[in-house]
Amino acid sequence: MDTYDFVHLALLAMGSDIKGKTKLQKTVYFLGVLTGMIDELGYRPHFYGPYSDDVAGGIGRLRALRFVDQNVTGMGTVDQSGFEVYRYDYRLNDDGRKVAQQKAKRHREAWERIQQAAQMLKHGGDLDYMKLSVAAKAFFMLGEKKGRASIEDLTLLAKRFGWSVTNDQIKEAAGYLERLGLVENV
Amino acid sequence: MGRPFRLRDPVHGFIQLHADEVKLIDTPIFQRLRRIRQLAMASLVYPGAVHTRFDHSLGVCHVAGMLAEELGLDSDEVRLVRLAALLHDLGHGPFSHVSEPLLERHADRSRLPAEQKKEKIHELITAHFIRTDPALAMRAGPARGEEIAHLLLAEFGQPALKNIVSGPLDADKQDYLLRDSRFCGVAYGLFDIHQLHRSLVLYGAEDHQQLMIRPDGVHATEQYVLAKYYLTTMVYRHRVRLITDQMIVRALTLGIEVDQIEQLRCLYFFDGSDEFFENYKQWDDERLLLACTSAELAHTACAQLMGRLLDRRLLKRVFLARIGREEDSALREVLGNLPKPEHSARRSEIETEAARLLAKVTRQQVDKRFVIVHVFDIKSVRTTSRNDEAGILVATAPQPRPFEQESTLFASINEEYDDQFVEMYAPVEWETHTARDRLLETLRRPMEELIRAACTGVKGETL
Repeated sequence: MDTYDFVHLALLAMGSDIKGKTKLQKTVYFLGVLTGMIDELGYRPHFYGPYSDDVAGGIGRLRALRFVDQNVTGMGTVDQSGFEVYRYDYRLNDDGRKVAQQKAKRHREAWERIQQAAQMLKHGGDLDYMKLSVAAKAFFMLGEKKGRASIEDLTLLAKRFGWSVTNDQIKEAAGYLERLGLVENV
Repeated sequence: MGRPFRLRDPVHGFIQLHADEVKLIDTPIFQRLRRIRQLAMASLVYPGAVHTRFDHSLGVCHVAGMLAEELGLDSDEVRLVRLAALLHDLGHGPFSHVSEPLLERHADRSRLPAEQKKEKIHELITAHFIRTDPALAMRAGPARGEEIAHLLLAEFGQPALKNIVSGPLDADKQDYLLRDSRFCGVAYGLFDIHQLHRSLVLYGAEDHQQLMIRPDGVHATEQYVLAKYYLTTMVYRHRVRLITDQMIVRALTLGIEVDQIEQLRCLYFFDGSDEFFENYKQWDDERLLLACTSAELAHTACAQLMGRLLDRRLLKRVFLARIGREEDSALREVLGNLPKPEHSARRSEIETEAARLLAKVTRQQVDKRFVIVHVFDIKSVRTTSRNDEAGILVATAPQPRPFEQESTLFASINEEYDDQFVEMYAPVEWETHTARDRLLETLRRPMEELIRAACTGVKGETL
């Protein structure tokens, strides 16, 4: 299964709109992590956290083939965070769902894993894109630290990627990762 | 450090090279880049486009140095960035990017270390040459070689230095836009490089700074982004250029898979072995063309198609359709994903049926091996502005913001546009444009039907 198919099934599994490009990137990232398919999705560190051009390309192709509707919402001229003034929401339309359901049958095993991962993500809590982004950064860095690090270590390591995060943000992210069963407090 | 060496560059004027850079340039592995054209066979469309990876590499070195100095990097950082820029294309194969799909398709990644399994093959080759080529290693020193390879490949390292050699504002793009424009004889890729450099800034904490645009530098960046958009549309995706690229890929694919040409297998079957690298560095455009069209291979499909390129008897575009316009969603899905390996039988069926149809309609002999179905996408200029590396950032307070939101020009552009096209190229001839138009109109409906039949197994009305 390639990234395009993964993104297509990810949207089917999440069910509703995904609000914002950042949230889409991080949602697919965590689905990749939870399914164990993350290495296939092309994520690399970026200013906003792990980012995959392949995932962005997958969404682009889904839009080009008229399987995904994109809704652009103006969020006002000033955002206190200085982050994402316009929001791009993505939703599978009827055609997109129909084709995705056929795809799910063809890739039954992967689809089951994606579905399970989506359930875990939903149970983990509906984080906004900023918090989800910090959680993705924290988990990405844990990978670099071979899975074991203190909150302070991660805050420090974030600087190597050009990421600006606080101890409190990392702490909150750690709670989320714990709920997903991705880390444990030792 | 010895006396700087100055040479004339058609794009940047005088370029100054340091003695250690000249030593690296004067190695066989670097000189090989003189024989690899920057734009493969684009000279069949733009006769002036005969510039090479060699000229481009010198230009990137110059631009990277200029930018690094403008940004106030220290002299050792400037030297490192210049060296990385100089050597960044060392692993390019014959016909530059046209070699990449073949390398990717035939690579055996099983012997690679885990962290390299996802890297592009030509980038792995570049890093390998920088680390191990004896002449380079002797002149650069192993420690320097490792530093350069690390800067080009690894995800860690100082972001500021990495951003100059690889990223949406990198020296590579800045040089190739200006250089390709100059040599193609077009003005689409022009932008004010000096103003762009004045518009760039390093943002963030010490040692973790990233390359961004100053808030008042958005307009200079708009010009640069538009230059990339226009050059992509008018040159890189020129109809004839797409055809020549596809012809090269098909000729080499036939050479490997049908004609079983051993030399091509050795060239494109990357396995990470020393033998592979030793062989790879012996190849360039000219040698590949000569090898493929040699007398002993004259009977092969590869030689015949390469011969067509040499004589500029190019395939013609006989069909074009927008995939997004098709009503049947299942057909859109298959067509949009036609390049995937799982659809190779479908592609082959489409090409075979199209050859049969073309032979019948034109009463010409149409070799089905030379009929090529090609799918490509076109993105909005706004999407294009983000490039492949996740976007340009403007150093606004309190947090950086995406360029396409800060630019009033780009913010006002609709991002809805995203499209995919399917085209068919074939070895047919026509005398006049009128005859061509008549033929394409005659072919349109039956082509649509045969594509539908191959993709869905059902005969349909339209595509």
